[in-house]
Amino acid sequence: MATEYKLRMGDGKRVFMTKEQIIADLKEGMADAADLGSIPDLSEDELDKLVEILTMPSRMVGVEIGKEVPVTHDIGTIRIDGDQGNSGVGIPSSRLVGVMMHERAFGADTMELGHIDYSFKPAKPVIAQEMQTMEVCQQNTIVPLLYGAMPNMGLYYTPDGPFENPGDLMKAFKIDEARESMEHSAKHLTRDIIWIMQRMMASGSDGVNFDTIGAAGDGDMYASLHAIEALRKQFPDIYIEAGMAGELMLGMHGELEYDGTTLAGLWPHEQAALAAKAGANVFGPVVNTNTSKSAAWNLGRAVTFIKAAVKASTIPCHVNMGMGVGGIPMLETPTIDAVSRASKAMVEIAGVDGI
Amino acid sequence: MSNQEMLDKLRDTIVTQNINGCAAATQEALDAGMTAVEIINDGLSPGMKIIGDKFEAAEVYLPQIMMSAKAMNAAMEILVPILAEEKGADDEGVGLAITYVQEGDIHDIGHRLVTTMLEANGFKIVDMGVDVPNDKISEEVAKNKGKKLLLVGSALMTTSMLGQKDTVSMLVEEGLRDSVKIMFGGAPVSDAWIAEIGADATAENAADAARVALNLMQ
Repeated sequence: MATEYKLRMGDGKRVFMTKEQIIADLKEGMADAADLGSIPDLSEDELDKLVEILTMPSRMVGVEIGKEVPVTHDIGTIRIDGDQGNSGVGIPSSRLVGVMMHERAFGADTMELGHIDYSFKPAKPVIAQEMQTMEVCQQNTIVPLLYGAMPNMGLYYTPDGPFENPGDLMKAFKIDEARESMEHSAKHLTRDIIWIMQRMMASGSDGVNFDTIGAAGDGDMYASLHAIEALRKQFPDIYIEAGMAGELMLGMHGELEYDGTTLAGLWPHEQAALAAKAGANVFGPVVNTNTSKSAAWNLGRAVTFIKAAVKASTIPCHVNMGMGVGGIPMLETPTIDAVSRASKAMVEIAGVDGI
Repeated sequence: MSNQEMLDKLRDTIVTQNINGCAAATQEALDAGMTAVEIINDGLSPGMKIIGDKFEAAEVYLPQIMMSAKAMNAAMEILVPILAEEKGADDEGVGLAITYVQEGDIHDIGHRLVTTMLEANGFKIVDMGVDVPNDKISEEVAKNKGKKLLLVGSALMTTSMLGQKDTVSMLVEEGLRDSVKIMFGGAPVSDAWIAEIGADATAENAADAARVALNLMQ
């Protein structure tokens, strides 16, 4: 009987696979990425390395000595005191304590301050509190501390915002009106991001983390890139992380462009160039996990996409690794066996600059 | 302009989402003596296939495919009465499609798009809307028993998708299963799910749904 190895499905379920099955899934996942993104396959050596990582007997694995990379955290300030509704562990603590714990106990290389609602728009009415908290956190830490939030353009549509919901307009076949609504929302989103970051920079912030750019489609990315561009002009030394929401930029509008490039349909290696052009310091590529496929399939696919993004990017790539992205199963608290294997593969095969 | 040039023009108006142009080109083709069937099969449908393929290849997106569907609809508004004349009043066309969103689910963009695409491809439509309970679906199928009938259900969520299994079971129990072809769609619906619950087909997207539906009804 062939030796079977313990792996995970994309939904976290434990599965047992032979080496041959693992190789077949790795190749299938890799081929899917190569086909969708028109990018190169992994080499045979890289596939062998992936097999080696996936079949290591240890419960968790780590990168080889000398290959360590910086680790950036999002939402971390509220991960400590938040409940399971926002991936938190429910330990009563302030955001300051959250930052300090990440800096002094967990070894975070950069950290961010984020509001519990974690989008730019709802930070507006509480900006004074955000500024004060940033100032206090900066006075108590030395770790580079960014302000982090999601662009989240959906908050500008009814019923949450002032502009008619493009989803409602589109299903009534009012396509032009839907597009106009997205364009108006994008302008307001850009304006709000700049307004908030002007105040956070005045409070000592080291920069900004755009968390999940494109969550509301190409309009979301359009607004975010313009905000990055404006912030770079106003604050030449600001540190800007441009993290994506998903692997493919969804064409909710379909015709928005940045620097002459249509945003809809861009894959990570194509998104990277625009993030750099806009003025970001770091690009955070994403590859989504398919919950119905094995960890081997997902990791083969994710590493193929991210390797191409790293190669194409002129700025450092800090890959998004967490529940449901980067070859990691879609679990509220992803298992360490899957997280550590996927992370090792991203560093040693895809060549990411950070996580 | 030759017939082929007119057909190419019809195809291109669909691909370029030219709603007014599509209606005008349709009228122009009719005036030149082409039949409604020729216009649909050799001009408009190839255009929808191109746009469907582009959608699958992530070269065009939801707004574009909806505009193309709207262009096709503009043509069909002109062609449907003529088709009835060409085929005779009793002709059922390709069939009657009963479309709906499963009980517990109100996500209807996909449902509306598929309904539009089916109508544009010659189906008569009974649109039951959203959040439709299985007994209402069964009643509608029973009411239309004997016709060329296609049931097209949509569910965006895994929770509402489970109701599709009950739909099929209910139609079996009531002796209606053989009276109707059944298609289900929505993000969580897969070929494996279709096989498991005993439905007939699913499709990747709205353009594909029209192709699958036409094949099912042959």
